[in-house]
Amino acid sequence: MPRLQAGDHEALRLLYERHARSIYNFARRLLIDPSGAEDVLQETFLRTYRDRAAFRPTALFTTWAFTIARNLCVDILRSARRRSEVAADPLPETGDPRPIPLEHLERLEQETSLRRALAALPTEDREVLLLSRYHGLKYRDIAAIVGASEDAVKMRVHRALARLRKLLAP
Amino acid sequence: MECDEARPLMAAHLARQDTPEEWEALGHHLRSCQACGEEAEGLSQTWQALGDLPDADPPAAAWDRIQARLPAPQPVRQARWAASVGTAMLGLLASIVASWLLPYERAASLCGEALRRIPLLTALPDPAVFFAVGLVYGLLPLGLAALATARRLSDTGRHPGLLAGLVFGVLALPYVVIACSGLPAAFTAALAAGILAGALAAGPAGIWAGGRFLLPARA
Repeated sequence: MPRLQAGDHEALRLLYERHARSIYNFARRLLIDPSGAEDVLQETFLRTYRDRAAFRPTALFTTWAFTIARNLCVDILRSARRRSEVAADPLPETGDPRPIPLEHLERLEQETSLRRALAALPTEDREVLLLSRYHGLKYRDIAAIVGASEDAVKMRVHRALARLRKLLAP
Repeated sequence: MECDEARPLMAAHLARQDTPEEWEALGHHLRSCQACGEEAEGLSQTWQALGDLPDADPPAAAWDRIQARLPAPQPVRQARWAASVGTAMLGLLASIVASWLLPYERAASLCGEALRRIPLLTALPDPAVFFAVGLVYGLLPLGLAALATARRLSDTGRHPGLLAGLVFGVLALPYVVIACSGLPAAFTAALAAGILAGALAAGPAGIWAGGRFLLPARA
């Protein structure tokens, strides 16, 4: 970050290489929309560059970047009300005329069910579950990202997981 | 532990966010409560299932699109130390010229007379007078040099003023030793220490004053 704060584009590229996949997948799962996720990814790094002077040396870049990405996602979800459009990814086209193996098909169906179930969670529950499950962030850091107390995060992660369990129950 | 207390700890344990004490209390509760035991098992399976959802790579062109929207790169900045060394050299030149116009020994004599007129400083030892003289020969020349180059210095790395002061002090040392060759070593050391102290204060102060009073406010 000190190099970035001096206006070095190369430093931004290094941060991008290290964190882009993580930010992109967080946005993808929170928005349930790959194209929106790319917008969030781009805007996150552009804002990182634009607001670099405000970055405190004692802060974690991960927390900083996830906070920007999360706020962008929440804005998108609020304005477009995408939550109501449960837009789970369609089964991917393989381009291969041969039939998809049964095992592969079952796995794709399971993934689709998971995505639908995640999409059905309220945003405030989904975001904390994603940050905890996929990004291994501590409740303290998640609390800073979503602007809630650590206890609230603990409750939300449990609530999200319990609800997901019910949604996935056969 | 009640069931309501146990539930949030189930997810916290899966996320490795529980303490050993919480895990022990939860384990004790799960052994005695079948319903919570089943819920914990179900939550664990759901947690594992989430891990099966694969990650995706960002689009390959995403970075290019970010780069295209970034402002043009800043002009290549001079090496961090270059401006500081330049300022130090300018200050040193001014200090040496000052010492030619008013040699250290003569300055110490005048300074001693002036200081010892102050009631509390009547017994001021000579090395302290030389230290005070050194302060002046470090503070004023480098302060003015830093003020003149504040714009360049403030565009370089961290603490450029301190670096300029340090370089000034180190470069001034051989000259001070030569110029004070006829004086006791304690006087020379006190003078050199005073110059270094003055320079270390002058660098940051000059940049601050230049930024505060001479440079236009940044947008």
